[in-house]
Amino acid sequence: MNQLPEEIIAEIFSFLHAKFVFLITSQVCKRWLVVRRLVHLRLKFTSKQEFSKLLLDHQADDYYFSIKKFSAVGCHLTDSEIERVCSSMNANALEYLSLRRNEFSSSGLKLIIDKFSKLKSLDVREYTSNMIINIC
Amino acid sequence: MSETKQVELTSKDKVSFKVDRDVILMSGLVKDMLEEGDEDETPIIPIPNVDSKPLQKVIEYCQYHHKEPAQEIEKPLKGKIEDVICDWDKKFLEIDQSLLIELIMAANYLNIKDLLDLTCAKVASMIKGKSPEQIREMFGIENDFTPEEEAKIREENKWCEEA
Repeated sequence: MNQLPEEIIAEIFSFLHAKFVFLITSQVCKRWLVVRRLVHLRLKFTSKQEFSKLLLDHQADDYYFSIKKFSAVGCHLTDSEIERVCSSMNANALEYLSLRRNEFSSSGLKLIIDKFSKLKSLDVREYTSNMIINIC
Repeated sequence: MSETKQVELTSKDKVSFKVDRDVILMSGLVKDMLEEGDEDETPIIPIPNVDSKPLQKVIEYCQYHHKEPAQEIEKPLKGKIEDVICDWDKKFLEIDQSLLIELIMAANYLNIKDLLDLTCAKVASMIKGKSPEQIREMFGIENDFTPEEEAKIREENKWCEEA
């Protein structure tokens, strides 16, 4: 195991749940802690509380570095929280963004589109505020 | 004319294996090498990074799967690896840990994606549900964190535990 290169350890981690990679594998040894950065993570939130806690605890560190899928469905996120999502995530890594049933407006949506130009999928269905989108 | 074309692979410990060309084309590395110069009847390809034992296993894998493509293993792994792979693969993975690790290295070097996925998923399945201490023990990994560093990581991870 010790002779495996870091890319392969990352490949192994990619078969595990993101939470397990954060909580358990990062505590095994220094090398595994570093490898965590290479893994394409999926983060999923289901409440605003959960979401705010993460962003508060982890401003500007490597947690977001390689997140590929981000999902916060029904979290009542407003424009200011969308702004925080945009400033924390790595636009080169993020491919799937699911923000269904939230409360941000068209300016929040514009922020997302401007920042994450490499998205393969963006889901903003069932928004609950008055989102007015001007299509030019 | 109708005879199947063969390739001879030589392992790190100088053991030769004759393999059907179609079979070993599963290896991206061998495929690239064969495309470069392909005039010989039975080209000899040295595999200097792989010992005969893992190489034998790789060939076994290719012989089965070049006709029977493996199903993609979903990420993250659902349940144990044995729940999501075919019977042949299950039997194939009944090997000790050091051979498994050698097989991962071989699959990586020879560029055989399905075999790399299978073996990496197997290790993930072994890790799954274990504690950091159990994982270290299983793979003989040394804990190189100071108690302070350990505490810091645990503190950092708190949000995740509660989520």
